[in-house]
Amino acid sequence: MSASVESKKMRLLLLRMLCGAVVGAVVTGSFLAFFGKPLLDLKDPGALLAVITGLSYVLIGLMVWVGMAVPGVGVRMLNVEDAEELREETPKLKSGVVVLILTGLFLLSLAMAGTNFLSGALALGLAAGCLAGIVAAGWLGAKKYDEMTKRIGEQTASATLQAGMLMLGVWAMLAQLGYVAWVGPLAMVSAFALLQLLASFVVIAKRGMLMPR
Amino acid sequence: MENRVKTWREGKGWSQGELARRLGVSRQTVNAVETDKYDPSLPLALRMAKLFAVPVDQLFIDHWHGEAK
Repeated sequence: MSASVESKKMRLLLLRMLCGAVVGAVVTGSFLAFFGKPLLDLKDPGALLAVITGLSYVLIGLMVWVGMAVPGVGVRMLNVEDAEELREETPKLKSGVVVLILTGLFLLSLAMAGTNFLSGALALGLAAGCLAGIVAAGWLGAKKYDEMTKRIGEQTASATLQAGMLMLGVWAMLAQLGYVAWVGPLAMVSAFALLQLLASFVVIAKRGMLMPR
Repeated sequence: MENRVKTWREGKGWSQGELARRLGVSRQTVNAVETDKYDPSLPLALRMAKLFAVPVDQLFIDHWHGEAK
C-alpha cells in the first residue's frame, strides 16, 4: 500500500474518531444540561458515570442501526467494502445493536431510578428487562459469529477482566485501608461497561482493523 | 505470519466474498487474513489449503527456523 493511500486512510480514521467524539460530547452535554438536574443526582459520581457510559452505548448502537438502515451511510461508517457486505453482516450487527442499546438503557434507567421521572419499581422492571434482552440477544448473536469475531470477543472479554481486576484491586486495597470511600454498585457496573467498550476498541485497533478498508 | 491467500484466491478468479462463502466465514475475516491482521485457526487454514489444493505451508509462510542445537 502506498504512503499516500495510507495517510489518506489515517486522516479518514482520525476524522471519523473526531466526529464520534464531538457527537458523543454534544449529546452527553445536552442530556446533562436539559435532564441533569430533574432526573439525576449529579453529585453522585456513579450516576454520572452511568449516564456517560449509557449514552455512549446508546449512541454507538444508534449509529450502527442508522448504518444498517441507510446502506449508503453504513458503507462509509461501518468499515465494510460495499452494500452487499453490509447486507451479509446485518444479522450479526442486528444483535450487536440490540445489546448496545439495551446496555445503555440498563445503565440510564439505574442512573435515573428513584426520581420523579422514573420510580424505583419502574426502573427495576426496565433494568431487569434490559438485562434479559442483553443475555438473549447476546446468546442469539453469538451463534452468527465466525471464528475471527469470536476471537475478538474473547480477547475483549479477557482485556476487560484484567483491566477490571486491576482497577477493582487498587480500589479495594485503598478502600479497605480507609484511604478512599467504598464505591457504589452503579459506579462499579458502569466502570466495567466502559472498560468493555474501551477494550473492544483497543483490541480492534491493535489488529489494525479500525483503519478504513 | 505471511500468507499467499490473496494470490491463490485471485488465481482461482474468486472475489473475497466468494472465498468467504466457500469457507463459511465473513468477508471481513478473509480480508483480515489477506492483510495479515488475523491468523486463521488451524481448521480454517486447512480448509483454505484444501480449497486451493495446495499444502498449508505454501499458503502460510512461517519464517521460524527453530533453535540450533
